[in-house]
Amino acid sequence: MALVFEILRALLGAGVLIFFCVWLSEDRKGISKRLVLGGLGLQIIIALLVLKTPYIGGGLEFIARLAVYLMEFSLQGGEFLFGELALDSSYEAIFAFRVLPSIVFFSALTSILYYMGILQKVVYAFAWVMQKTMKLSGAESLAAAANVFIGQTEAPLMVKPYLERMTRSEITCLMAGGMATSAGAIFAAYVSILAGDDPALQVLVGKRLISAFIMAAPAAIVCAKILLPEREEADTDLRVSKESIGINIFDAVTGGVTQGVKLSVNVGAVVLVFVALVAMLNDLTGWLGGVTGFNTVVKEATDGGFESLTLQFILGVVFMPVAWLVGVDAGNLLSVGVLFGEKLILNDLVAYTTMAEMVGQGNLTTEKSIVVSTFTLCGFASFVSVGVQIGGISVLAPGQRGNLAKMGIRAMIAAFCASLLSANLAGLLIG
Amino acid sequence: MLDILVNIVRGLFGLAVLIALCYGLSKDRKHIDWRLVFSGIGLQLIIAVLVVKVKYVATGFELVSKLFVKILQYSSDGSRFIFGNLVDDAAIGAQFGFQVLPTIIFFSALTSMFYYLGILQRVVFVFAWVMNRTMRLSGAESMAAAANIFIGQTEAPLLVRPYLERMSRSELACLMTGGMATISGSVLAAYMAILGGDDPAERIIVGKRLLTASIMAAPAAIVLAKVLFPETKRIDTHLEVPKESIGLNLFDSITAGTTQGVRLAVIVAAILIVFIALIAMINYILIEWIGSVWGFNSVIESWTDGAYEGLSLQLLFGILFSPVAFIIGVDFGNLLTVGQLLGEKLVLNEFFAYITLGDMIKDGTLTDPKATLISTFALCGFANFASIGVQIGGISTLAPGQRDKLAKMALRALVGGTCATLMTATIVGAISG
Repeated sequence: MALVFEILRALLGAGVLIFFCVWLSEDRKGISKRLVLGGLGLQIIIALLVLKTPYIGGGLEFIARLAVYLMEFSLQGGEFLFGELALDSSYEAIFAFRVLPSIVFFSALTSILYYMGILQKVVYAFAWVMQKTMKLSGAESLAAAANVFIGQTEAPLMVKPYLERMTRSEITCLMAGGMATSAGAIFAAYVSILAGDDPALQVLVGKRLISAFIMAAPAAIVCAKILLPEREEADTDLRVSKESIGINIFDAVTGGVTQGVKLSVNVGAVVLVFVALVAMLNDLTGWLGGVTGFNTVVKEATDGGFESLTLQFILGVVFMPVAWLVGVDAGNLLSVGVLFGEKLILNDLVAYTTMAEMVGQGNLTTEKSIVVSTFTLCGFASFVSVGVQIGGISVLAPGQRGNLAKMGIRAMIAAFCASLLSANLAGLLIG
Repeated sequence: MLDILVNIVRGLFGLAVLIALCYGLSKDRKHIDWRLVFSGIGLQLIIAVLVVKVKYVATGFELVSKLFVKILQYSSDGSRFIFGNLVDDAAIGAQFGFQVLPTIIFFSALTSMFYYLGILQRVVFVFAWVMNRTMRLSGAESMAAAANIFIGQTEAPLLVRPYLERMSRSELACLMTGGMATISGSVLAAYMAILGGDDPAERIIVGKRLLTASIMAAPAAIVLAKVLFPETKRIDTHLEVPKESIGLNLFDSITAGTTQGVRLAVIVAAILIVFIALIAMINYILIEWIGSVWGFNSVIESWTDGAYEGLSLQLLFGILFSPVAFIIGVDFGNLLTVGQLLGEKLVLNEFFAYITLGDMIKDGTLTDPKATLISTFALCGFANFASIGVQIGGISTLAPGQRDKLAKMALRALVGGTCATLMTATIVGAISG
């Protein structure tokens, strides 16, 4: 009985998400039903394969294990420079001395794979599958597939020759794909935040994150194509840009390291500023809550879970219905709502950090809530990313700047819906 | 007596092999100026003999080295202000991140300051003048080679910026090889800290060696660059002190140097993290998968008396580069270890190799003083595969018209730069043994 209810709720969740996108669509008549059904079908097939098929699940677990080994290696580098600060969590400096260095290492690894052409081949295979099932243009399927592995400003590099000629629908697809997924460089950071030092948990979390990365790509395309259906004739030619990223492999590594440093310094700085900003805002709302008496209301309503009126509480209340729709259990709605809100208005890393704290404090009680949160938070969909993409992609294609700026927010909504769709499905299958 | 003779013979043999290698790779063997080659080697020999055997010069070098050690301590004061106990606390073990790397920033700022004051240019001028006269070089290339002694491979070209676009292939070769054959003042101090440990006396000895190596490498690089790419055009031998200035005032120049130093220190840190991690990864594959399955590990362990625990990348480096170690005069017992260092330097970078050398000295793997001396000299240069990209990228932003030439010559410049440090190591090994 409970299972039937869960299935119904998942269908309702998926339906509401799709209808929300249809409601916001620029051209409801132009929506290609074949594409939407093809994309959703592909997502369900991928989900069943990665989450329910022992062989493929085992393969994924193997990759997750490899990733955990890689994190160990990265830790050796951090240990050399920072000693116990990177190893001993009692210093509470893991974020700076373990998580941020791992971003540098994974960024360098990505560059190596890119330089050797391996990444392009894998991306091509993904793109091929999506193009055939959803009848997409070559450039947008490549971009969406590339986004599974690399970040939102690097993936466009793979389709650089096509960028200036992309249609508005293709641009939206590119942007949504960027925000619905994360980057391989950040992957290790997520795993260390969520799983700490426990190797078994690291493998489990890693496996879930990889599934989320893969499932998000078709979902993002579906949502983007509902919001902005293709009206023009798109070029279906599937070709990876030959652009090289270095003179030799060492040059490529250096390039990857430089990029990784930039990324990790930026991540550190943004997290620092956001945490401080939220503390500042919470002081303000707390004061307001004290004056108006809301603080006591909040405290009673949450059984002391929230001491006063905070930004988190407000976000939690706003996103509670969303959390319910994607299948979160009753007792965890407020907590998961907080996470969704933090991800959208701050970013994924802050939200994952909060999530790790919640799990530690016992605020996320069921496995299903944890699964749904892990999948939803996995991706760059946040207001900051809109700016990052407009800035980053318009450097590569200055002529598209106007389109990028106009589509930014829509792409973010599509991407968030895409993450929710994956989470909904994953929650049903493994929660 | 026989020892000295053997040393000298081995030194001559080493020099001959290194020059023969570059001769083999030369672009224009007919036009090699042998007078230049021999005067360049003679110049190195004179520098080496002066530093090693003449007391006055030795004391002078020691003074400079002492100054560096003092400056290192001031740099630590700065780090301590920001990072407190993290700088020295051995229990945390983060000295590398919070003590060694910050020195790069301070030395980079100091270099900028001396540049702004015009002192650096005058010192460079003196070195350039000597080389210009003894080897009949163009003004620009002697300046570039001399500047490379003190500043890095992408900063030295700034001193000859007005000439860059007009430089001939041979002049560019000099510039690039000079950059690969030397290090820069800002990392020199870091290496003193790495090799010398906490002992000031030890640091002074290391500093003296690194200074000598840097100075000797300049003529060595020129010699090999001119073997690889002989000059065929008429050259402008006119030498002048560059006018280009950095910064609006002294403080502006210090700030600029600091910014540059921060960037360098962060990149060094990041590269080290990545290289250590990559090597851990490669070693895992080599030792746990290949070595243990095929049973190599135990064979290697007994064969090397436990120096190598298995089929590691370090061992492969050692095997691959032990012939090179032999050529430059290392004794049989240390070929594998020195070979490993040479490989790490060429494939990874000299920072990494110096760290390994420091560890080897500390844990007693490398006790032979001659092998240590030769290693210190041979590692002292930026010649590694990543530098190819650094140079092409860095110099071509200053002279976009030379990009094609730079790209074509880079690999030979790497060979030249590597051989140049090997040459200084050979000479020093031969005369101090």
